Amino acid sequence: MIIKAKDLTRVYENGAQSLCALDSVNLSVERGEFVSVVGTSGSGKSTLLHLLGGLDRPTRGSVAIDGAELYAMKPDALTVFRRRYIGFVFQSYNLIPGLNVWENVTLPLGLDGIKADRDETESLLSSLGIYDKRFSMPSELSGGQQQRAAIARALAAKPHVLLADEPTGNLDSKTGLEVMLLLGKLNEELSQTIVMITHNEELAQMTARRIRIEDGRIVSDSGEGRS
Amino acid sequence: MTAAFIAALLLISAGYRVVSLYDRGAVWLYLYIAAVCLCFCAFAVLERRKRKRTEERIEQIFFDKTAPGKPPVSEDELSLLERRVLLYRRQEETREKRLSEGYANLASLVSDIAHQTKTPLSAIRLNAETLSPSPEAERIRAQSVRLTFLIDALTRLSRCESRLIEDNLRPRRERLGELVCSAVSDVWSFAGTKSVKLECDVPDGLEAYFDLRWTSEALFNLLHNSVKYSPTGGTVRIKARSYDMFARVDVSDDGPGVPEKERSDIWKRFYRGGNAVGDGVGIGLYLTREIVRRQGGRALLSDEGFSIFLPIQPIGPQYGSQQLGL
Repeated sequence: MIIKAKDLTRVYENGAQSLCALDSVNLSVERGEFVSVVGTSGSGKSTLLHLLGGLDRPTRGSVAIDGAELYAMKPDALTVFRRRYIGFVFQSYNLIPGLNVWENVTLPLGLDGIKADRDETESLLSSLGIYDKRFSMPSELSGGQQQRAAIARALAAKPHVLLADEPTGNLDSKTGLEVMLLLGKLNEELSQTIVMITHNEELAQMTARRIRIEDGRIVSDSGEGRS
Repeated sequence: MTAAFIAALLLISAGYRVVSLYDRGAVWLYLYIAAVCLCFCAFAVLERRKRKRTEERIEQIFFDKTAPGKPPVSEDELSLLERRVLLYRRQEETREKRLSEGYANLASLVSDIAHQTKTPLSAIRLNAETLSPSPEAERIRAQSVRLTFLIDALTRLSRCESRLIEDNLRPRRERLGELVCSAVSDVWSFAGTKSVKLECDVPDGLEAYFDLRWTSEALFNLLHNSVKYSPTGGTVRIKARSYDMFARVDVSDDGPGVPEKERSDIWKRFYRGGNAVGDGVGIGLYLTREIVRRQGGRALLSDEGFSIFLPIQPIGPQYGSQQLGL
């Protein structure tokens, strides 16, 4: 089991008001699974992903990635853990504007003081179809290309899990489908564990396991009841 | 380290002032403390450099593949590590080379076998058919039919290896009804032998972007698989639906299903499940996935059964054809 979340709860406090974004969610994901999490906006799906990836702190509950308890770590250790073992892909790509594609992709490794292997980076970029764009700045790329660069960056560190928050949200339907097929292929050929958040029911159909979340609770899970 | 350096400077300056005012005899004490601090700084700088050099060397040892294997001769720990890594890398290279050679040989061998056995096989079949009717003659004929089926599968496989699918795929706008009809009519007689019912739910007017002939082969493989694992008298259901981005064809059956553990393996070449029955070499599903993928689609197995997703509009070829070289 690569992701195990127990009793995950997140309450946002704002003065006298409090909002329970995530309510006692239990979730486990096996190695090599491709899971989509669907729900309307405000259902808590992004909160769930942020908590799974150590980007937030839960009010209650725990998350273990490959046996390592995220929220038992000191903040610095968590930052390093995230950088090494969790890959993130966001709706808005989050590429660094002043760096070209190559520099963006090798940045997380560079932060660990590791020089990225040239051959490996080249093959990563060419299999994602952006090798020709490796010296382009993010602003010169189309949305689909930016997202593929972001996926390359997330994969460069060979993460245990890839967490994608609405990866196709800013893309037109054709480009979105292409990115989706790419994620599917990563999952099938490299056994990359992927958790993808989407509000697009159509794309969610393409994953073998679908989790629906409403008002901070998991209301259905097509992979439920498996050992 | 910087802090120690600043402390040293402060001590020197402060000490000098105090000393000049009160007691010149204590100058040695202050100088001594300052010297200790400076020594500490120097030591820290040296250590840091050494560590950096070590890190660089380790990095070179592990990651710099282009560095020619300079034979390490000194006997420090890093040298030994370097030696070991080099050895390991060399072994790995040899293994990789042997593997890829072996694989190429296998592919050509398969294609040769398939080709060479065709003539004798059809001779056997022809002769068996001309024999006077008897149970033995019938058995010879049935077995040679089976063998022909296997050989055909091998031929298809080698064809697929030599990237023939890619060159032959001509996706265009086609009707899903036609696709299902063609695949169903191919599996019809096989389903009849097991009295498996085929239930189609394909609304009129659904269209997608695919190569009819190859995709029909892909769907046939799924249907064949479902019929094969269905209990006698069971039902295989085919359902087609169309969405904004893709059309989806589902195939489900009353069979036992594929165990969770084997789900990602069944798409692999030559894979046969733990509960596999009957003839087969384990390439049908592999072919299905390759065919669907190379047209920008996706083949999936979930709790509900098999699904194939076909794009509604042409999808960039780089997604269909390229193998992930990771």
